[in-house]
Amino acid sequence: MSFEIAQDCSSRTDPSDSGWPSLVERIRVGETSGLEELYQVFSKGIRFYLCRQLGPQDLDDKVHDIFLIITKSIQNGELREPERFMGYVRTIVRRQVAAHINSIVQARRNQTDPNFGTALIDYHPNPERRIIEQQNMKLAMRILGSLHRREREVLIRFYLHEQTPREICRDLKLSETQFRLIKSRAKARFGELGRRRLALRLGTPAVVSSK
Amino acid sequence: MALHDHRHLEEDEIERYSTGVASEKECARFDEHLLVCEFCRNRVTQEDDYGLAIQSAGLRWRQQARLREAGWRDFPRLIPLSYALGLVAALTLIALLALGALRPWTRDATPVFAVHLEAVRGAGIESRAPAGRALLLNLDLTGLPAQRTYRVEAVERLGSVVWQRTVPAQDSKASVSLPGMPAGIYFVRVYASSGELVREYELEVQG
Repeated sequence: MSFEIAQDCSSRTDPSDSGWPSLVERIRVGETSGLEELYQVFSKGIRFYLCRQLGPQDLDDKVHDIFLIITKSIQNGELREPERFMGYVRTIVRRQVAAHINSIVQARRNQTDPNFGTALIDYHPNPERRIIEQQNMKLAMRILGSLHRREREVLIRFYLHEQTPREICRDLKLSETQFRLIKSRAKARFGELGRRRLALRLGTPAVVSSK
Repeated sequence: MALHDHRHLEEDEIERYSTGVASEKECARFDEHLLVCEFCRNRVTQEDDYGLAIQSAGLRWRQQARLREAGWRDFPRLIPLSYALGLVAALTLIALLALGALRPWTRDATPVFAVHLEAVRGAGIESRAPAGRALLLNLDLTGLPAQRTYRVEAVERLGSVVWQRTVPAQDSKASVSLPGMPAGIYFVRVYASSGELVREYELEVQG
């Protein structure tokens, strides 16, 4: 596992090796390649963050807005520490998320929609996502069913009741190692079943876990 | 160690981030790393999926367990005592009937009443039977032309046929079963195979 991570790290293409200041400088002077690189490095990350925080609604527009803000602020010389560029991007994204939530709250408080009650947004995931979630839940049910009662209790307490590891260990009289082992075993089983399911769907043999 | 020095998130860090229990300081580091690391983003997504799946499954598991428990606990409340007793009694009766345990008792309760019908001279009615009871008529066919079968019919006082059947005869005797009849005067008539009335008995069914 550590080898895999190390390999992945070395193959990463973010510009931190050459340094953020260089990228920031290219953006500041208006180089197209700098803007392209900025988009290439951050677009997926920003999209990921926004999607987790705000959901998939109008994601492209929000990502585009954030890139405009970042670019303008760099060109206006508002970024004082280019070597802390990632932190800066994160701050802008967080502010945008906060502003978006605030605007929704304000709108809900101040505006009265004359068509209220006739148009409702469906907050359910899209059909594909829903099927994936259903399949995942079936896998999880299989896992819960195959576990010992005590192990099942650990998972339910941790993920459903959001108890802390300390509380769970205290209530079920488990050591921290036991607790971690139970969790990691179940997670490994989940991954294994998921891979098998995927392999069946693709018609390829599943990789057998060495564990 | 700053994450932008190429350190991926550890397993427990991924879990804390996904479950939202990471501290503000940790979140800042994780967020910055996730902005540029697709590998860790995928791991977070997997962890999110896994957590969501276990949550949903855990919830369903708890609900099913609660339903199972409630099913047994609420059983007496759902079915009132009188219904339960009635149900038990009905099931017992069905079981006893199925096993034939009540057969002797039922036979005793409505025993067939045997009546001997004999041809006698005179105006008086010699044969009597109780109303509503199944009857076994023993017919004396002495003196009649020998036949293998006779047609027997029962008619009420005004002549309407209430029952009829062809019965086999042996040694100048024949037996035939009749269902229970209401009280009244009846005539049991015996016909030869040619259709000729060859004998008639009187029977009084008493209420």
